[in-house]
Amino acid sequence: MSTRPRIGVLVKAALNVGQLLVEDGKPLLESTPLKISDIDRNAVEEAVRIKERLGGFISAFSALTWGPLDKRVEEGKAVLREALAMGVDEAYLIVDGRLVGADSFLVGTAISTAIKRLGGVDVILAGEGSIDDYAGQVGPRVAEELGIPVVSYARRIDVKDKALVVERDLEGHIEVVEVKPPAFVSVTREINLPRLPTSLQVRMAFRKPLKVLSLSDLGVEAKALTSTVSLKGLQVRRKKVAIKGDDVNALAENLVKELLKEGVL
Amino acid sequence: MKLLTVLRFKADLELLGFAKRLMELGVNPVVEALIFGGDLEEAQDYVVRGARKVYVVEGDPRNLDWLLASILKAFELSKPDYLLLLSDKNGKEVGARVAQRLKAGSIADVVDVVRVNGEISFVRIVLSGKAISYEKSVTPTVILVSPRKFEPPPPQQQLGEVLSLKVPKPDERVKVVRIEEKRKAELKLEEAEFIVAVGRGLKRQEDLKIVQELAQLLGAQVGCTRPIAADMGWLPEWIGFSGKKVKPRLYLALGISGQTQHVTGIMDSKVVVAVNKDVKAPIFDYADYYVVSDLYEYVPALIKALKRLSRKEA
Repeated sequence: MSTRPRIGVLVKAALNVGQLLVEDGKPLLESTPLKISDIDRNAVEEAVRIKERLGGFISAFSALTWGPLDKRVEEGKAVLREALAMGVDEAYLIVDGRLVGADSFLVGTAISTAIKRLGGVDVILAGEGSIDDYAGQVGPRVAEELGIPVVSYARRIDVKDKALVVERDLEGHIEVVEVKPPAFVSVTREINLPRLPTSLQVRMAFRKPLKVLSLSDLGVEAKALTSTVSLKGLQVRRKKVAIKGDDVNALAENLVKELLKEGVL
Repeated sequence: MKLLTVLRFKADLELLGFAKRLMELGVNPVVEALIFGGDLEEAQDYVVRGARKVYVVEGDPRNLDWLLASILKAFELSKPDYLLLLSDKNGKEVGARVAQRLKAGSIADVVDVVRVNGEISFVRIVLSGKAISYEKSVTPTVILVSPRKFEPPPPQQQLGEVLSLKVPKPDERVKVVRIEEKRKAELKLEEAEFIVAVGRGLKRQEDLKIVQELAQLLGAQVGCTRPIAADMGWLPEWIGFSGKKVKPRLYLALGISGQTQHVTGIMDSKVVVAVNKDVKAPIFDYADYYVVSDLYEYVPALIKALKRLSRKEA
């Protein structure tokens, strides 16, 4: 890989699902705060590690997909500032009414257009999926739009001469691949332990460039193709059957009986 | 309505079951299939299970650039409304790429298809298992179907067309250097069929032995809550919102109190069993079966009961 590579990293301001409340079967989306999607922090960390080895410049890209926008823009900026504090050099936040609740097609198109405007990058990193949706669609779409190779689910990235050697963590096996930049790589949670920025780095992040762009700034006219018809809070319905028995052996036997009936043993 | 099912491997046959589900909704889709390996004989197996037309490519579907090129070629000929792929890791990657090439939508991790206000809608679990989302899309759309949700249809008397497709192997941009099979112990918790998990009810690291003995008997993976992994470091990874999300057929929680943090990770389990000595343990609200008992007494008794069962079966 070239020295001083240009690195792009995709960062999502995701719904903090840990704090999501459900009222009368309806998830209260608008009152749930946003946070950086956990696995994107791993992507940022990996970008910073590559920069520490080879030098270079890191740009972060984010599209704000949760409304209401007037309230969310600051949250989106805070998420990017976290990436800036970790070592990203500049950040772009795409904010547009059309992106609220948008699908991966529109988000992928918007982000890839922003990257093209920058003149492209050598490596794009992203998390394997976001904590609120986990579809894993945006990253590969961005890569495809830019016409660069895709390597997904990386649990390890090594830089070797002019190539990246990547361990892909698949269902039953590890696939080790080699790819020459420019390339897109999505990472898993296991790839590294993201650093916690110091309070000085957090303050310095405010001085780094953070630009807000709209879809018309980017000249993106596309519209979302998929949409949510309905969203319902999921109630867990479990049987809650108490296993009874006179002693511990009877309790064990009776559980085994139930599990046999369930067909899981 | 026309469906093009991409059957990379034999196991992907369950995608044909998705078509059957659509029929139950009053849709009568024309089903076509794309298969790999170039075996025309094998194609008949797909015809009798409902594929009217089978495109056969002499490629290796594990080469994702080749898979992408093959799907685009078959798509061009088939012109389906919905392109169906199994939502495993490679499926999700290639599904997204195909969709972007076609300037089409994609819906990942689809667990079912239903009608909402008369419209065909695809069902997904989102927001970390806390919500169920019904989505629709302008066609054509790539539908990524979650594994193990549909049954492959049985063979029937049916005729269909088999077409051999030539798709040249694309230039190698991503070169596979080697493949390492995972050892069984390395298999991921999220793919485990059986999980035995421990929480703070476990007092000492060496006590993991009895839990491991039980797990071995069940063919289960051992999991744990966050404190056991993150604070005590007794196991490498934990199950929960911030850790692994699992969906085993059987989840056996031992000495786990049932913090929300943990239970969001086990929502998709088929059967949840909780063992806790505290009769008020919140985990009991998330369990199908619960046992009020100390794990130190219960686990040995359960091991005995399971051994008796396997002797009976033998």
